[in-house]
Amino acid sequence: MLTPNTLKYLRLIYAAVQLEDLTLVDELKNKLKEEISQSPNFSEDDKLALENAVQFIGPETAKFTVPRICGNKPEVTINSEGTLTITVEESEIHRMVVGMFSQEALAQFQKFVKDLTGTGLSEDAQEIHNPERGIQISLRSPEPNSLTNYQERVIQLIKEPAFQNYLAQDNYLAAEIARLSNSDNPDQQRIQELNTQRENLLRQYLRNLQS
Amino acid sequence: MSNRQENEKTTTITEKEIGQFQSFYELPFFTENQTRKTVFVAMLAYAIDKNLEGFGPTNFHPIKLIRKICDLEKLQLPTCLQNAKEDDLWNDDWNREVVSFDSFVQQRLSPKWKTFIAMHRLATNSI
Repeated sequence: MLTPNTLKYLRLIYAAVQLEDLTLVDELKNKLKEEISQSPNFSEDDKLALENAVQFIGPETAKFTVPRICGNKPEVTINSEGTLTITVEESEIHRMVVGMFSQEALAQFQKFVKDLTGTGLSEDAQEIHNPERGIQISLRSPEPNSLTNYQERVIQLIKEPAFQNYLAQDNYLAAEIARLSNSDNPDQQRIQELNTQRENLLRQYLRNLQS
Repeated sequence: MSNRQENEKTTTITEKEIGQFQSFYELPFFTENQTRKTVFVAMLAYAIDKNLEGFGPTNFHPIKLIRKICDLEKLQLPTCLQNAKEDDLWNDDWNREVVSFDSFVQQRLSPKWKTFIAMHRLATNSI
């Protein structure tokens, strides 16, 4: 279960995980819980469920944030023979992300399909059916220009200038750390400096969120 | 047309435009130092968005592009580039300051490109 703001927090937590700063991970989770508890958009039951869900956010949850908003309007049906059919519409956002990063984002959907059916979905396939497991999964093309209200809200949050500025700086630092770490003779002192800058950037962003 | 329909319309980037954007990153300037892909993001979108002649992937020049954007948007040139000549080679020490400039340029993009770059920044380093 995701609130629109969760995606933003997952990205921040992902940075904290890369920095191996578990204190910061907890601070970010607490901040997300605080936002949920103060939100007028959820019932008390929903708040409790969401706050419990935040407890389970870990390093693996924080990875692959973008594909979480890539599936749209899932439909689940079961016929008289017991075949379960799941139809997921590829979202406009997913289309953009796949366009930007080739098939990497689609790989998440492929993993999902393989876990359920035991067979990978070929690159061009829109459908897979495994009679032995009684499951069929279909990927529906999006309607032109279709965004759900949820996705619109997510996009508005992601587009916040302060968050975008944070991402621009953090992506640069992460890329530079990766480039130096992969070089033949890594400059450990410079890598450490950049890691410190990255941590300070995240802490500064968190402080601004709290003020 | 409702506000929602208007918003939806402005979020669509064509596959051709995505292809144009990607083709910048296939240039040796970016393949020889992957960090530069995080420095030039919104500026590349700006060149496509504003249809800047002479600033496409076939004639990409980082310093010229930054100067052109500054001229068009009445922005101050990043301090690190103030003494740079147009035919100087790119100095990676400039990257940190130019990232901030790129983030500033993002706010000058059309709505659909602003959304695209926002998604791009979110997806970089997280998929």
